[in-house]
Amino acid sequence: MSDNRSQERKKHYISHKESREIAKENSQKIRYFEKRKKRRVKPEEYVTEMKDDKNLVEFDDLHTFFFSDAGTVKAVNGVTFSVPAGSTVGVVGESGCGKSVTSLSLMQLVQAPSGQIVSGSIRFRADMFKLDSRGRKIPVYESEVDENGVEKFKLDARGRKIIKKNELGGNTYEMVTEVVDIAKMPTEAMRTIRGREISMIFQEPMTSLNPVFTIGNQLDEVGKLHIQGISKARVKERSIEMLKLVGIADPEGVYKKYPHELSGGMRQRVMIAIALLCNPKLIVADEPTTALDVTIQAQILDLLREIKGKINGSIMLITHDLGVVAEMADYVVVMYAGKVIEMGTAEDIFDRPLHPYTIGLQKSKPTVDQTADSLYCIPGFVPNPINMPNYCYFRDRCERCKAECSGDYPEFIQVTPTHKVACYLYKDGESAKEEKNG
Amino acid sequence: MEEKENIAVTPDSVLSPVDGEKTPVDGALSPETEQSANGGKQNFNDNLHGENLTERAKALSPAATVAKRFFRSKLSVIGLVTLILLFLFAFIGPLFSPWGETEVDKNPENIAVVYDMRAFTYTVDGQTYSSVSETERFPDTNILGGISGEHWMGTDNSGYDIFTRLMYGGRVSLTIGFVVVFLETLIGVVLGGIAGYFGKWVDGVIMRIVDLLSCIPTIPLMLILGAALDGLGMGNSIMKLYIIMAVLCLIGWVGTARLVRGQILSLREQEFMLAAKCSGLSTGKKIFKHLLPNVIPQLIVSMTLGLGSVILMEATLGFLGIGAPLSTATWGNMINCSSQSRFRQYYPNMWIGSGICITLAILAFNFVGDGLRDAFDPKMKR
Amino acid sequence: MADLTQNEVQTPPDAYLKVENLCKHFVVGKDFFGRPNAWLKAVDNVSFSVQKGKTLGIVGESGCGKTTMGRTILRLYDVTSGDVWFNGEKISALKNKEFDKRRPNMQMIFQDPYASLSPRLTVGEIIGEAARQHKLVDKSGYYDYVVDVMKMCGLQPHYFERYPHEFSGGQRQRICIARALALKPGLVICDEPVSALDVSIQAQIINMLIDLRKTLGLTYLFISHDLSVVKHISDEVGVMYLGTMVEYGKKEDIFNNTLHPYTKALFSAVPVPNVHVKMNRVILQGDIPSPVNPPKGCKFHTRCSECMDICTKAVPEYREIEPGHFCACHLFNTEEDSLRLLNEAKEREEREREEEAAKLKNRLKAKISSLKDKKPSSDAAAEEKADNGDIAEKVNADVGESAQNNKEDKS
Repeated sequence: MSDNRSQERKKHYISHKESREIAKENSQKIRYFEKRKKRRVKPEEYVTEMKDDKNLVEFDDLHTFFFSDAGTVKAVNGVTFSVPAGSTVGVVGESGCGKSVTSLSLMQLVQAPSGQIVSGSIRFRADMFKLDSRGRKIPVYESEVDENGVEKFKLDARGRKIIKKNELGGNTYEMVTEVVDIAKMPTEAMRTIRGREISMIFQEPMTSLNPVFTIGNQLDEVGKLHIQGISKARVKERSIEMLKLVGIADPEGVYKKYPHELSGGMRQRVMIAIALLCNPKLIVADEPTTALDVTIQAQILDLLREIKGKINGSIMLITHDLGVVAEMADYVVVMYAGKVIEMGTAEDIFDRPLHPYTIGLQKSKPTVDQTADSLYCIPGFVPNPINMPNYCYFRDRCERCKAECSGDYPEFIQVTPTHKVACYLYKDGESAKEEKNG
Repeated sequence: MEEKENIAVTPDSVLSPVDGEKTPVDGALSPETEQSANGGKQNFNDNLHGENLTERAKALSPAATVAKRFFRSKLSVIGLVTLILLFLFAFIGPLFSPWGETEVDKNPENIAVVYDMRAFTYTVDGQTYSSVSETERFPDTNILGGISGEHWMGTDNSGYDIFTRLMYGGRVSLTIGFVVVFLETLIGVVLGGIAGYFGKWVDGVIMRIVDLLSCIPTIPLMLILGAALDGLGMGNSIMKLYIIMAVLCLIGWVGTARLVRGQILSLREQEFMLAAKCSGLSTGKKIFKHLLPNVIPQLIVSMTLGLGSVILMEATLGFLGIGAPLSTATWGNMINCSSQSRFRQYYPNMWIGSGICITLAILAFNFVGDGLRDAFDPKMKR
Repeated sequence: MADLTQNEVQTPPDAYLKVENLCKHFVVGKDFFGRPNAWLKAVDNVSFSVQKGKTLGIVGESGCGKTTMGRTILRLYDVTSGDVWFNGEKISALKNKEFDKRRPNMQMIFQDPYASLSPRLTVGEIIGEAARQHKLVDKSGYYDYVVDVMKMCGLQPHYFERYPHEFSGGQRQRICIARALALKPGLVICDEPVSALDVSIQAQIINMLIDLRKTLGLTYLFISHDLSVVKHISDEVGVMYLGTMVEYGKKEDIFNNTLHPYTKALFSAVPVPNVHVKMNRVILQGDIPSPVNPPKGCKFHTRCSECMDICTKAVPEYREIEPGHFCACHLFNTEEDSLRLLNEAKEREEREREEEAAKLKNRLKAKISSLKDKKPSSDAAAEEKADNGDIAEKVNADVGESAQNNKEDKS
């Protein structure tokens, strides 16, 4: 008996030797990636081209790994999808499928040193500051055309040129729209994008606000950081404007309050207000409503939809809730164990799901307006993304798996112009057609 | 269809994590799964299907995780190595020493002349001058001998070998440290545990005792106690040290009690304690099986850090001359001589060794304690 | 003694679990002398009953008291008032030691599978420990018994020696279920058992719970915020809001013939995984009020879309609107009901105000008399006295006025 158990332990636990090997390998790799991060990167290296000009973000074969003590966790393992400008993209998957890590990679917030973007690229169309030869931003000055048709700079009382104010009340600088590869970008440059061009809403509204500062303080801080040259009064005005925008009835009152005085829904509204402060082009919402009650969730989703119309930006919505995605998203990306297994428009995914996992996921969720004796359920567990096999990761839980499924990991198959799936079932157009008819 | 059947192997075959990337795995199309596909009843032992991917990944055992985190920090490794060396030095070292703890070197060849310095003052023309006179002395034992092949660190004013006494001193200091900390922890865990678990008036009484005890200033108490014990005629027996240490235990448990109480108060509200209550477990089981094991990591850390402070306390008492009798070697006693300016100035070999030992021991205990704290902390990701 | 005799007199109800007017108030504020002066009414006057082998689903948002209710039934918290009958016994009146003997028969599955397992015990120990303590199994059969329970819950026998942290959420929840079932309970209170799990795992656990109900004849009290899950598993459903039951009835009644506006709003807030259904949402405005200081009248009136005048004044009655379908809402009042409720509310308010005024008056009287005894020695004291006199007059006037109002209302 005890012999059996000790064998069982041996099989289950990492032996000392293995653990040492893993540690050695990890430290080598981490050192390599950290070194690569530290070296000076010239702008030419990370400025690239978009594949499709309509896109705002393109993930291209992104690999983000965590070098953990138990082995390399391939949290994001070759993810390719894009966020078209002005649209909402929903990323769906269960815990550990890499959806959050994908978004963190986009923000360069993967926890280093164990987490590293290993390869691939994240292309983002950013409005970057134009820099002069000495690496400084170039301001735009107030000017007027006098009666002779000559442009003249306006001067202040002390004879200095006045920097033009932009619509946010900050200084105007010469901007240039560039496509940058965030995976290769140095942290310094990334800092000008984070919060200004891309902002993030986190899952826990309880912990993502600092409890010792007032709401106003926290809003103003972001404003001052990202809008250069903005006056104090204007920052406050902007903060209150944003609080009003997110549907807070008493913005001046909330401005002075501390986070603990607000309810969960209000805090999430404040988080959204902070995210909106600098007119970002992309809002990454990582499970924004998971910690909230249904009625509050409905309010927040409503708000997000409303705001998207107002700010004319894109939303990348990360969630495990199919209902939320169906309601919000234009495009849906389904992830499983670090890979995208199916993507398409919301109609494609919800009306004509192809991948057995997507189908199973939809069938296994009980709905209010249906009754069934027994729920459909996908057998087995969500895999632990260490030492993944070569074949389709879903094979062992899949009831429709074929002989081919034991072969290499399936490639993406373009079923319709908008709909892609990684499954051998649709390799020959036959079954795809069948699926449509059925 | 034939192919399919080839793949379907017995459901028990579990893909071994190490070998084989493409070993055929079970139940691609076993009857049970088909049934579940039809929306029929799900046999839950079918989970074996998905497990292959879950089981591929081996986990680190809990002990291995802690060890890994501990050894990742260089300081804690240095601390551990230093501790091991100190222990070997103190407990194994004396076996190889030719000298005993209170053995006097009477070998006439080693005996050297000792110069006694005496300060005196004289007055000339109403002006007072001070001066030092040197007298030669020819002792019958080797006292205050210099560093030599026979006495690696010389001999002290009683003619004992300093290096050997350093090892013996380590024995006493380290042992006292462990015993005191162990007793402190024992009292602290029991009382803190009771206070935390039962709460209400029990908690009130125990915590007020803790408050009272932490008002007592340690050093004056020890001074008074030392004097009283001297008065009782215990000045020259090792009992004095034991009694003082026992008193140290009696007032030293308060920190542990506070720690344990705080931990238990927060653990008591955890859902697993509700679950234990729900299943009607007895109070003893709840405390000893569910609560205390969760406090052990913090206890180990506080014990390790406490060891350093007890050793420091012993040294302080020794320095003040209220610890063990001077013939007994402890690190504290050996450092005592530095209070005399003659030894401090001209014979640094008498006290510098014990000073270094004390510093090393305390640093090492603190490093190890810090390392353990980080290793046990589940929130530490790196 | 009085309690005991009462216990004997009352005939046990026919339901397996019956909860009558259950209240659980937490003290949240104390004055200087330790006397409580503020309460959080987590559960306030809740009544329902469950038949053996049936499942009652309790739905509500966070802070509505559903978890507290579950825990109070199991006496993990002390009952403030009200009765709980279980299996023909009034368990709310039992002594703690007596109740401990009945604990195996009532088990609980907790929400968070990570926090509800002791991290330093092996899986086998967690599951079998209590069964051994209650002598449900002897030493020789212990291992086999535990392994049997584990298999029943879809756990492999070789997990026996492992620690909970090595498992994923779904497997941990299975361990929790196995721990509860190892005691052969009749009633299992499931407190959000699937809300912390992944969708595909949720379905497994729900199916397993349903299967176990069939094979072991279990009775569930299924607490959840997820309406779809509750609908799937329950026979009867109760909807809670701020500590009170607002609607309760058979599943079909609740879902097909929703009465209470809160339940309606709750239903329409659930997102549906269908792109084409853009629901006509009833989005509730505002947040859930704090249960420490709930709104007067109907607790829901601050967020209700059909709020009427009466809702802000009178507490609605919880009563049977249709056979077996209870609801607490003024929308279903007849005119007489409304009048009666309004009057009752007014009278109560009146009484409270009078009591308070009387208290104040007494205090002032005492103070004034003490001042009189002392004799006014300085101007300050005289001034103070004058002030007090003013207040006393004011109070008198207030009381008179309200009494008058009352008369007018009655006429």
